[in-house]
Amino acid sequence: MGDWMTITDPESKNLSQYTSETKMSPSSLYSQQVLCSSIPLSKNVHSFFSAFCTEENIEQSISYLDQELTTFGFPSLYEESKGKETKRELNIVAVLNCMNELLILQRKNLLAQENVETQNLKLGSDMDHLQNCYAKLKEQLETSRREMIGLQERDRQLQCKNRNLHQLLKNEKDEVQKLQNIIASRATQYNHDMKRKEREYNKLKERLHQLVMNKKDKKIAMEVLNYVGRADGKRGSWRTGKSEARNEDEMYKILLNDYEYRQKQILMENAELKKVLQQMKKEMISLLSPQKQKPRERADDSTGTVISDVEEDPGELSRESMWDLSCETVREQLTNSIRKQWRILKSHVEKLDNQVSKVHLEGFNDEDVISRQDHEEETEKLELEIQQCKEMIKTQQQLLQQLATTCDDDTTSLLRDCYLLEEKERLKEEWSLFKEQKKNFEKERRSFTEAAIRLGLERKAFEEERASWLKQQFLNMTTFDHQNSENVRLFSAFSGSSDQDNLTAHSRPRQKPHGVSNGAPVCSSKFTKSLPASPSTSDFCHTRPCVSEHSSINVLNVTPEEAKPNRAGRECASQKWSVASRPGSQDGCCSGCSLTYTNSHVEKDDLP
Amino acid sequence: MNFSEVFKLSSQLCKFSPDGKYLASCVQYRLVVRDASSLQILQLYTCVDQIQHVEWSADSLFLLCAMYKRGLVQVWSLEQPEWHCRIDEGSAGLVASCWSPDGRHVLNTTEFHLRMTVWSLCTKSVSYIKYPKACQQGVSFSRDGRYLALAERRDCKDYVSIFVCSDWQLLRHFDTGTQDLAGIEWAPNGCVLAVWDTCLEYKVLLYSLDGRLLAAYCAYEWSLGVKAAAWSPSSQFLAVGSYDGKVRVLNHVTWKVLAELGHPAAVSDSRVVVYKEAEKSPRGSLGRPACPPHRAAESRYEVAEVPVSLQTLKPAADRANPKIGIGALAFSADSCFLATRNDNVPNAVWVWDVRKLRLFVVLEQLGPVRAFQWDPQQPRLAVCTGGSKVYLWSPAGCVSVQVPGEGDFQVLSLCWHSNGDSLALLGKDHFCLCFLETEDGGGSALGPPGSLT
Repeated sequence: MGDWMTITDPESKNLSQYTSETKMSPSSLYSQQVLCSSIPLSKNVHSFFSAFCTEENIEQSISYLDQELTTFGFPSLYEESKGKETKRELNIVAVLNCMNELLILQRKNLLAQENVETQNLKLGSDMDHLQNCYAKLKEQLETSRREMIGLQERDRQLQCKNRNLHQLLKNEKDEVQKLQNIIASRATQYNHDMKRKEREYNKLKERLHQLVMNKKDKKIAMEVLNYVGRADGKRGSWRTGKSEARNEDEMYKILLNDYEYRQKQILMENAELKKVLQQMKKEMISLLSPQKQKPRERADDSTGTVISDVEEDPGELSRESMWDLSCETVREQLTNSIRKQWRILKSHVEKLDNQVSKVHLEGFNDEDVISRQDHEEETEKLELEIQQCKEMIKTQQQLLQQLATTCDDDTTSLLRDCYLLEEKERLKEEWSLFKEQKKNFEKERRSFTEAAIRLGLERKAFEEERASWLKQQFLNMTTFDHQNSENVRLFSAFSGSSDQDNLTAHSRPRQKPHGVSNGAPVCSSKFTKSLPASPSTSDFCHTRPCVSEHSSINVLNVTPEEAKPNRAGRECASQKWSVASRPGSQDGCCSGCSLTYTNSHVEKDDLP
Repeated sequence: MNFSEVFKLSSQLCKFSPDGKYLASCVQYRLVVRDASSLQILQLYTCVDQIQHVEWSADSLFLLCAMYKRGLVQVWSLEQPEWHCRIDEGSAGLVASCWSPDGRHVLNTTEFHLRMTVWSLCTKSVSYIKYPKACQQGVSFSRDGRYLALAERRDCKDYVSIFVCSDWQLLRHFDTGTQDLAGIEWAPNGCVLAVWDTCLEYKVLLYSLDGRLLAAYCAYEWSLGVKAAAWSPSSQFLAVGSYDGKVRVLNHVTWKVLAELGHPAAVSDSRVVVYKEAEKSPRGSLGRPACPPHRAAESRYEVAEVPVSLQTLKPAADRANPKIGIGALAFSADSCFLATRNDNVPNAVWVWDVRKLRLFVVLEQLGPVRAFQWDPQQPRLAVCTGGSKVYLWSPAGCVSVQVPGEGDFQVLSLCWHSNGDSLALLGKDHFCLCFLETEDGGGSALGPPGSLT
């Protein structure tokens, strides 16, 4: 419909004519007629009007037209007659005016007709479309109706099935119930039978026992060459009430020993944990006490608690002995204070974290970037200068060489001899000047490098200062982490020897000789980098002859268990290193710091 | 690693003496005692019939040989070869015989578990214990040899009697709340007795030496229960393997579960190392004949990429004793590792890290695992699969070693020497010793390479 619309868009008459022709709608036919009749109007005027007007009936036709026109509201064709009797004369002007108006009217009509035509066409197409739509929808409706009926049917079937299934389920359930009942009854029956059988069996056993044992069975005997002494060398003792009591005693002794041992272990563990807790507390206090000195900075209420806690300190020494005596009295106090301080520490660390990130975002970057840019620009400039100087030197050298080569000619030599000396002197002068220049350049360069070095040193110093400050901060925290790790180790010690110690003890000495003897340092280094079953390791196995397969497997297998802890340890070390002594890049330093932060967080979270 | 020559053996009867000096092995009706290091024959005893059971006394001075068919036990002395002792159970029959921990008493169980006879080698005295229960593991001596715990059945109820071994006096006698007790075992410290019920019901009971019930544990109901249980040498843990394919580790303080160690056939944890035994492709791919045809192909371990799925066995549901669940489990001597076998994944041995309570290593063999045993000195596991190879695992790694010798030597079982330096490999008709040299300082756990052929 849309396309159609655009085609029939009544912009050009030709187009509309064309379409109307092709479409051959009745209305268009009509318009064609009209058009046909209107276009040749000018050509066949005579033939056209011959029927209406002839030489003879001009008057009549004029009057007829006049009449007609006047009835249509046009002015009369005749001139206003002064008298009735006088013959009215044809007013040419009026005729022409009328004609013109008629023509205009005709054009207007034609236009209107065309519009109506297109409108009609549009409407017709719309109609068609709508009819199509209607048909389609009708079809759809029909199909959906059919579908609905189908679905309803299916639904009904399913419901039916469902009902059946429900019924089946119910039946099954009943069946299960029945079977369960049967099983239960069978079980009881079985148990009962078992018991009966067992009783019978026991009776039989008893009987058999009597038969077999009570009969003086000569066969049941022990032949010994001679009796041997007891393992402990003592003589056997009689069974008396005394021995019974002694046995009891011994048993309880054993039990007591066991409990004592366990208690001792628990006490030891407790003491260790207590120690750790105390140390933690102390370190927290020492960590938090510097904040007290600048209370303006931390004017929250938390400082108050810190101070109060710190103020309690003097009395602690005397109390420490009490802690050893019994835990219960101080336990709550200790845990409470630890908790409190832990909260403070946490908030403090968070604040620090924020600060660090802020600083990292704002100040650091600017300073760093600017200085580096300066530096780079400066060096670039200098390099450019040096390049220029070098080029100059080169050209001059070339010139000198040219001079020298030209001097070779014998014929010219004589001629040149005269001013060669002069030139030589000049050249010498130039040369010295040149050298001086070069020296100056060199000096400048050196001074600049020195300046650069100084700059670097300064920055390093600054960086170090900063690092040390950060380290101070974090060392306090890392000491706290040490506590944690100690704690963890203690925990693992509880279930055997420490894991890492064990691993290192087992694997360190082994890896070394293998690394040397097998000539596989490449391999081992690969292991440390990559995880267990890297293809390189298996390749390595393949290449090794069978005899040393053993060892190669050994190497291969050392890695998975060992590499991980080792790696972890190295990472840890590198992190610490970056905090302590890596002034090269501030970014690294910061990331290192944040790493330790997160680490400490994680470890703390691990704490049960 | 060196191997001894192959010696004859019958019924896989081969035992190291507790002091580690001697090695006793049985060939039909002969008992051969060798020096454990030189393997020279020191004594040769002749019994009256085919030996079915042999056991060293705790002080390594005596050996008892049981001939169940004849209802006969013969005791031999190592110090006095001419000394002999013969215990005849007569018409009562004999189904089991063992030493008491002092090495001066022999405990014989008669047929139909009518009674237990305690024969003394020191005096003429004979003691009887009535109603011993016929079950999987009904007798348990405490590690220090002081007490004997014995499962009993009277009036359709289970009882446990605790005897003092020095004079066989009854110390405690209590009934256990079990339906059909299946096993008892002392904790290595001798203060706690673990009791578990028949497989029809999951029930583990823990009794103190004085008969008090310390704890009862039941993981689930309405399904097959405990299949095997083992104490850690430190007495800290009791590992209970059950038919649901899990090991539950109980702690010794609260007797609650510390960890449930599942044995799924798919290992997906990337921290776990899976060693997969692989047939070594014949070396002579360049035209050289690979290996003698009578020798089985050599194998080696490859570290498999996790996730790994292990071969599983579909158990026959309609048979008794289905091949599912944890049928074998053992702690290493330092209590740091636990080795387990899930019977429906027969080719694999799981090694758990007890300190972290998680899976550490899985060994997947080419054949079903027949037996495994920990080195008594260090965390080192020996595994055999009924093939001609022996496998060793330690935290440092894993090796597969071909047992040399002509013919097919099938390692059905193995036992460690008490110092962990050698390992007896037992086949159907033969045995050989495997010597594992140790470097000074205990550096290598698997012995040096090179001597392996």
